[in-house]
Amino acid sequence: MSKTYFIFKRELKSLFVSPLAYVMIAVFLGLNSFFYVSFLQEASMRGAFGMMSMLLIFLMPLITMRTFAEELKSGTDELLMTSPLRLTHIVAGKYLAVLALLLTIFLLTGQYVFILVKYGSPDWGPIITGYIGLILFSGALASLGVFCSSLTRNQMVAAVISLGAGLFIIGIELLTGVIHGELAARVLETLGIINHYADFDKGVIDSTHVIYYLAFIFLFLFLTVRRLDARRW
Amino acid sequence: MLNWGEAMIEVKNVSKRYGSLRAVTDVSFRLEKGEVLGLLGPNGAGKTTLMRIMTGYLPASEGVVTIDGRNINEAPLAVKKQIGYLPENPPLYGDMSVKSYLQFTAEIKGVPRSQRKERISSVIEMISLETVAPRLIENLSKGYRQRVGLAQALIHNPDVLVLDEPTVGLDPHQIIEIRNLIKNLAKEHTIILSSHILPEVSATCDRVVILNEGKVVAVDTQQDLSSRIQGEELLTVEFQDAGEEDVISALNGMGNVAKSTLLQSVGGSVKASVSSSRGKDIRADLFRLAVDRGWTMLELSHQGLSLEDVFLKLTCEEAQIDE
Repeated sequence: MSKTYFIFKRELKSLFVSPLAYVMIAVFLGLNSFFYVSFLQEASMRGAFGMMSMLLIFLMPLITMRTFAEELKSGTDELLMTSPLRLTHIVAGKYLAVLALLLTIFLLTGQYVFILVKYGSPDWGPIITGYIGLILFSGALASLGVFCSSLTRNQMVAAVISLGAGLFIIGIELLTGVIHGELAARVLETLGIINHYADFDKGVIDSTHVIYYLAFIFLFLFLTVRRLDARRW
Repeated sequence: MLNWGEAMIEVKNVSKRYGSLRAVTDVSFRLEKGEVLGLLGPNGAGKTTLMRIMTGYLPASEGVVTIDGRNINEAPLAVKKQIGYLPENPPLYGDMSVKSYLQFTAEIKGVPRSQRKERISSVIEMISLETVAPRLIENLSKGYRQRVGLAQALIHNPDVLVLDEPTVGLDPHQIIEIRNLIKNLAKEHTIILSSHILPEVSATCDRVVILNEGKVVAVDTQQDLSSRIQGEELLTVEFQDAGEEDVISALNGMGNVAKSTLLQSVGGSVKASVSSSRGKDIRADLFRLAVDRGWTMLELSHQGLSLEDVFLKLTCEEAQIDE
């Protein structure tokens, strides 16, 4: 546990030492506020969550691209792999650091809630579940990004792959046009990452969706560990 | 020759293949506690691969590495705690200060919290990093980066140090510093270092393993290595008033000459090196040759075999066998 924490701490520091984190936060909040206010019609966060999840699809690859690609490129993976650490410590520490950056961003969007409460009387339910859904959704995207970063030592390549993979998993339902049959349609619908988000936005927490996101996260973190182990052979 | 007591490091029949490429083939050697072993070989000989296997970065395709009696694949965490590794490119995070980098490495290498502060300051002192401790690593010179890399390898006070080309890219002054440091460390640590530069190894190591194309060509002390291929003597001879071609053809025409090469030819004086066949003394013949041809002999000297010659010779012999 403490070993994961050491990796987490270093990773987080390195995220916040570079201008990347601040630029990311500024662009994210700026764009989000701009669109949110433009479309604001009622005292709810709905529009904000929709906007945030869309922005995240494009910004996530930029946050996660360096996690492993940079280590592989600079050779610092040699330090980590020859230290008394398990791959799970390394992957978990790095992943949690990305999550911490995301939580920081979400915390800053709390200003919208503050404004809504001050000038209206929003329904708290959908706001809370919306945030839970947003965290799960972005956590899933982050695990995909971390995995893509472990595939290459080139950060740009990692970003492009994870953007492509992200868009694919969002649009996977469209394959029903090619693959026919009721079962295929259900499977594809279940796989689509965005389908599991809608209920949270409505104020409902369905365990199916929570399990989907958690399984997604564990799958890609597991694949990252496997990938890093397989690199050695 | 070998003392089969407690070995600190034992490398047994280790091979490594990348697809069809054989990077390391059936390498075996052992190190006693407190020994300094040099891995010597041209670039691409498999030194780095071997070190990566020994430190658990890469798994071996065949064979085992044991550190202090424990197999690195069976108890990786415990064994890695005992090893300090300086890879060829020091694994540094440019965005960290030297001090926070050492703090991080102390943490992940399992230095107990209560000892971290003391270990960090003692390593900083040992490697003379005081002046750069607060600076960002990306702003350091190559020499300092190398030293920070070494500090990282020492931070958890490991029993075994594996140093891949520890002095590459350093200026002569820094090389001497690092060498002295290694000599000091040898008192308490078992060290294995690699180099493609011979004086490096002769300056610091007790024993040498010579690798070429992934195979061990020789394992011995330096003296033993030189004597192993003695019997073939190398002479330098210089004649005045002679033509280059005459000299070389005359030398090659002599009995008991294995090989002769032109060293230099300046204003009618010709210098050549001559190696004799095994166990033959050709000095008197060379003198008579000069008299017969009417050349004046300016020099006739005996060259002892340096480690460099041994190295070249062994690696060349190997190449010939392969052909």
